[in-house]
Amino acid sequence: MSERLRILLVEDDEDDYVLIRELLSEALPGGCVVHRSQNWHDGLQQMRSEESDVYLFDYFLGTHTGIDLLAEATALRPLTPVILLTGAGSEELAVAAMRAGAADYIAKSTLSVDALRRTIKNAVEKYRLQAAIEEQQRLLGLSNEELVRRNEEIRSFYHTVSHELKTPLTAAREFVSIVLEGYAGTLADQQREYLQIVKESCDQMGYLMNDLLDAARLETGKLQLAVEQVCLGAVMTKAVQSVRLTAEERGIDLQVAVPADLPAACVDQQRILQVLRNLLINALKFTPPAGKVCLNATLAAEGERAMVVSVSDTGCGIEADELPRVFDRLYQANTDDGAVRGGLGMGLNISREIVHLHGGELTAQSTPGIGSVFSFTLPLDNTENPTQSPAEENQA
Amino acid sequence: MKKVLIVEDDKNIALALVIRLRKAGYETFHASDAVTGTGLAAKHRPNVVLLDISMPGGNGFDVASRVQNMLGVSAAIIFITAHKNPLLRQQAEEAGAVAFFEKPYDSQQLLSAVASYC
Repeated sequence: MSERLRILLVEDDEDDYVLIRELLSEALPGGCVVHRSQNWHDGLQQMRSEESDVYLFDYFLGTHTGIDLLAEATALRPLTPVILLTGAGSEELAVAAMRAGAADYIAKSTLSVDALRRTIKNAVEKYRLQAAIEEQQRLLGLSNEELVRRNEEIRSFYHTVSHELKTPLTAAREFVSIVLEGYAGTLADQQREYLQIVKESCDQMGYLMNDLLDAARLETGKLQLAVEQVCLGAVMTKAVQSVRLTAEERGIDLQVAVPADLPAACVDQQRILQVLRNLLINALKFTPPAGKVCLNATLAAEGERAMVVSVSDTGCGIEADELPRVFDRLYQANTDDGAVRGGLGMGLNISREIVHLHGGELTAQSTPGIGSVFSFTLPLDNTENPTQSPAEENQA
Repeated sequence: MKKVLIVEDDKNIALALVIRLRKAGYETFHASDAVTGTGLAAKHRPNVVLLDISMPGGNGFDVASRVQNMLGVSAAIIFITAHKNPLLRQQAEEAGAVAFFEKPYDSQQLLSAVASYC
């Protein structure tokens, strides 16, 4: 420490003052500016009017004590360290001083150049570090607030984009459907076929937009479930129906098996339908013609109060080292096959999060060349509230 | 002839709804904003009101509440929105809506919802 330190020394005893000033000039090689106050009142005035780098207070200050002055210092200048000089050398006094917020203390009986140098150096450095940490924390707080604000902006942007894109998409899809349904005159077969492609493309775009929005919602912890008692079998049948045409076109045998005694589930119907569709579409995508895709639901082992829903396929399968990555956001199968490329690579990630929000787990098993099974659990009669956001859930 | 009021600020979607509903045998009225929509409801006393949620001059919930004050349960409210927020669905239910559709909607389901309240 080679800079000139500004020291406020509050000391009523003349002899002690002279001694301490001499020790200080030797202890601090960079020199120091010592301002002396002779009593509590003058010390307080000095603290108010000028900044110092360190305060040295004698304990006995007439009708006041150094600890009284320490309390004032802590309130006025919390970033300036106070070192108390205790005449009596009492340990109790030292403890009281430290409790009251002193940076350190020196018993006058042990005053020396070394003791002063060490104590002042430590106190000043400790307080400077502390001030730096506090400043960092303040800056962190500010950038955190900024991030929260940005996050909210992005969310609101996604909201607007969703609304603005869906409106023209709805109009496009509606008018193609109107023409397809013959409202605007009879269509030739080829016209019908081409317009059907336009309609399917509109649907595809709708799904992709929803995936993008869901990803944004998951990121901000704003994906909420609308949970109700539903018959899972009906949701499964609906999911299968929605991909039946794709399965037929690809020549894949698509089966659904729901046990008759499956109890009602407490789920967000639309979200579970979305998961099932994602899993089925993936299975169909990676299964060759004449293959088989099965959607099953069973009760979990006794005592678990859960059901297990699985989609199995006889597709190409997934290599063991790839398997843990399939749920990563933006994961895409590494393939040159144009028929299976495409999509945003978010379906499995979103599906896993939706299942997670329901209190279940989505997992994958696969044997390359044989096929894959994606299965998820759903707790029965969710007693815990399944509508909580992922942010809240992480704290649990 | 049963009457359907469409309150929707996107003129293309409104036109698509008008085409389908007229073909299905309904008399249709269209407003692009909340104020005109409320006025048309008072004038024509529709059996079903198809309501967008976000639009100029007040949202669909405002229109729904005014229509219900005027016509009571004789007018069935159906919301159609591009927003994908489960809270809106809940809010629509609380506002007494008989159905709720998200854009892009399934037009056959929408037509059968209209038919069941006409």
